[in-house]
Amino acid sequence: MTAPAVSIKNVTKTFGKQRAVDDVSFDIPVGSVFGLLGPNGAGKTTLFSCMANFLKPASGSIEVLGINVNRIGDLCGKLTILPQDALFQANVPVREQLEFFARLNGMTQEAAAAETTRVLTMVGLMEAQKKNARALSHGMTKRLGIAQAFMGTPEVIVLDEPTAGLDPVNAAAVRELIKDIKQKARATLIISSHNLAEIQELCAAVAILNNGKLVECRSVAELTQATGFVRMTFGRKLKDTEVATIKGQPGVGTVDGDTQNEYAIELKLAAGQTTDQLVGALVSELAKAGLVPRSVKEGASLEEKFLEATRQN
Amino acid sequence: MLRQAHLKLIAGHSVRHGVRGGAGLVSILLTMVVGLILANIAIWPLDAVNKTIDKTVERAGDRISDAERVAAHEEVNREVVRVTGKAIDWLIEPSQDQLDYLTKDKPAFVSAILVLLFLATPLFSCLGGFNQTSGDIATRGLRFLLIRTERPNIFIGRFIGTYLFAALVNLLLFAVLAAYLAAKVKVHPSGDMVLWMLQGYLRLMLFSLPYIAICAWVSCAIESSFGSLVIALMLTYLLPIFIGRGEAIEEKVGYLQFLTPWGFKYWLLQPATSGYFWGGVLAMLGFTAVFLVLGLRYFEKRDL
Repeated sequence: MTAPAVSIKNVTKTFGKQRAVDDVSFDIPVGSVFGLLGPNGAGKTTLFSCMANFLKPASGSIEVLGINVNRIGDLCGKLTILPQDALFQANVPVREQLEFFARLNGMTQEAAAAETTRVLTMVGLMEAQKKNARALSHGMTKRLGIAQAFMGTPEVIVLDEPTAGLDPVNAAAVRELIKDIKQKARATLIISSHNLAEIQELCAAVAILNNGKLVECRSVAELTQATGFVRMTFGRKLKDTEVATIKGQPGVGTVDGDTQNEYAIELKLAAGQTTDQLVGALVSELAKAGLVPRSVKEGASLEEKFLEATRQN
Repeated sequence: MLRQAHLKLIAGHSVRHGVRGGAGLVSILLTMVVGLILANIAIWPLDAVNKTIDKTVERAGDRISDAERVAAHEEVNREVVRVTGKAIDWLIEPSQDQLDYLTKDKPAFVSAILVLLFLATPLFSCLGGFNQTSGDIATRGLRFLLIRTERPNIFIGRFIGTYLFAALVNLLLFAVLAAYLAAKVKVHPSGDMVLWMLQGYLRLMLFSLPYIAICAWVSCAIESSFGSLVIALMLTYLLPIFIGRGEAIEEKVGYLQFLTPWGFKYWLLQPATSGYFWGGVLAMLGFTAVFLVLGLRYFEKRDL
């Protein structure tokens, strides 16, 4: 059996009397793209900070690639992180900062310069290489953070809210960048984000934290229950009577709506009936009632499962 | 684990960007201004007297011969040395051996400047060393380093970088003073003055070691650059002032000064062959080691 990339065992972190992370344990498989979810203050950044040895847990232990993070020097170059709110040195040029990091990763002066050029090109910051960090926009600073996280050949990359505060265009660019890098790098990626669609798009498995406790840790497919639910998107928000119409259809259990005109419909298959047959019949009946779905997707949304998990706790 | 390569990189980066955030620039400026003002306290009276003699000679014209003019300057110089000796005696209350060393063996005029600069050395050290880590802890910029090297490398590397930066700033101050003394002050032979300035610089840098180490400790404990400057200055100057006040009431309280580097500062202005001098050297290195160990222990355990 392959050892996990990250193994978190009974980690508790307190700030005064507040338990920011409360006895959390889970493993992250090697080579996976793993999402860490939770509402504000759930403990995601605290857990990431413990993982990178920025914060010292009150109890428990964290191993990355089989190495206890207290021996962070042994993980030099293998573990990198995009910290959520860390600032670069304001008065130091971008290139110089990255070269400095690369040198600390063990590269020679020449290799550090070449690696800096590679990552700056990758994130589209070559033109800003001589600028001081303080002269960069928020989006550029985020990309610079991603650039330093992808320097060298890290085996575990932690990205704490990589698209937070970015406009949709820049956020999409960062997502594409992550996908692209993932294809090339073969590293384990651990991402936190409040954008659940983004996590569903990028990650194979997720852990959900709420009030510092772990409330879910499963593959996205398992969590969103690939069978038993369909999500129908309509062109508008449905009236209560129209939702009742859906509920009244044969083979339909619960119907939960959200703000994006999307409705999660629980399917109750009759004996010998397939999902295809039931969904086909349902769409046909709804069309007769004037309710034509714009799209039909199998499984519940991650958002729904996230809300369910965090509400229960 | 300390890694030489990382220490070198971090110290080098720290020296190169010592002026980051303007703090380094302020440190250079204040060190130069305060240093030159202190030196001027010694230089100004001599300059004034010499100018007066020159004017008097000019007014007298041929009535005063060159030999008489030279004799007048020499008399002034002798008087300056005598007064300087008195001032040193009053300032540091030295033993007769130390007084002779500072005023007879060494150029007294330079000794007076060194004594004054020693009083300001902790201030220079605090100005140069208060922001070793506190600013980067506050902005969390240190996190980019924390995943690339062990904490002791950051702490000690920054300390070394700060010390080198302070050494460069003080070297600039001493170079300006040495050049001025060599060119303008004829109380002692120029070579003797420059040589004693150079020795004084090395001794002053030894004295600044524990103060930069205090700053390293305070800086890693306080997440505010300004806060760490204030605390470092309070530790540096308030403590000796309180002890000094106490000493005025009860003489034995004065021995408490030896619990800080301040108590040993003028041991460093003893002859290099004396036990006091080496005691002073050991005290500075000892205090530095203690402050660094305390700071490092805290830095290793704290959340960053």
